[in-house]
Amino acid sequence: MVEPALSGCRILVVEDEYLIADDITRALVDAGAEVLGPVASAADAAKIIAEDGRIDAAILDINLRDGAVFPAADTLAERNIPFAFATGYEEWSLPERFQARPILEKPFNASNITALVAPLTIIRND
Amino acid sequence: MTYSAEGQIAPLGTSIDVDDILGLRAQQDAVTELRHRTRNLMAVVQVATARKLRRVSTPEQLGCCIDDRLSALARVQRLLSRRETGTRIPFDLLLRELLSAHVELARPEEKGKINLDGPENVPLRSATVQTFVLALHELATNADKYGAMSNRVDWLSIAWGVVQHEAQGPRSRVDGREQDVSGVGAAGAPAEGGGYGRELIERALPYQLGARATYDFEPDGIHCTIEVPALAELETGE
Repeated sequence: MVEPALSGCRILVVEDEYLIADDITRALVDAGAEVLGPVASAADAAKIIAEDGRIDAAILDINLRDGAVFPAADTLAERNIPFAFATGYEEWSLPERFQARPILEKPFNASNITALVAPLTIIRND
Repeated sequence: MTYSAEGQIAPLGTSIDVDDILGLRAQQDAVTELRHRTRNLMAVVQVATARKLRRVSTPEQLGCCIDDRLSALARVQRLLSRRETGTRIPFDLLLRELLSAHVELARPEEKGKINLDGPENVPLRSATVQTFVLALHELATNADKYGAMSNRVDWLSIAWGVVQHEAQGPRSRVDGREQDVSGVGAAGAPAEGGGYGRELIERALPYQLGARATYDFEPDGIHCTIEVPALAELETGE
């Protein structure tokens, strides 16, 4: 049997639109991942990053109800945790320090998510 | 000559240049924001459609649901774009707009069936409107099919206002109730329509908006309450 692409990976999901958060979660779980969250606010994201031991990768919506996700992204970068943005914003509107990060543009479908996250976790495991 | 923000007289030429630049920047920001909202809306439509697809058994059912939902979203977009940036959509306007897709509110016999009760100026934060609308739309659709607005009539009562909580500050509250729906209508209702509307209310609104929500099948019909932090408290998030 083929091992699911994200088997055993712990992935943080930050997305404030419920339906989209649910969709991303479903796709990741189907691919064998364990989802941390999903959470809808930057504050809740910061809390998970501070409290949850191992995070293998993160998917971050940019515009949250309590502000931009960038402080959480900075913390992830400091801890060398790979992440991708899932957003309707285009690349050029990201702060420069994030412009090399992978972006999943909305609207997207579930299989894109696994395809995007799987390479991230491989980089992490190397 | 013109006045600067501090009230000092500033040379006209300079201030025009600055205004131009600020104007352009604001325009760029607006375009970025509009693109973002559009894509987000597309993503919501995409997910909602995919979910519906898993639940329906015939293409006709799917077509009908998608049509209704897109119309509801389109009505809201129209409301959102009609209003100046920064102004809020009052809850009663949204509710009337939405209900008007289901019933003729002005007809006397409908007036007797639907009781709307609340102040005119309870503002909704624009970010909350979309989820609110989808939830209300599902409820109205459900009432259409099974409850207060179907032929098993009686009435639908929706009350709203701002309530004060000692600990959490002001919250906007909506209380919707079907009354005297005879027989099996209400009890038989938790079909797929109820499932989706109920999920939006019980799960999406709390997740997305920090709302507290209840959704119950009472002997008379569905009773649902939604409380979201009132605008003043959320304002900083925008």
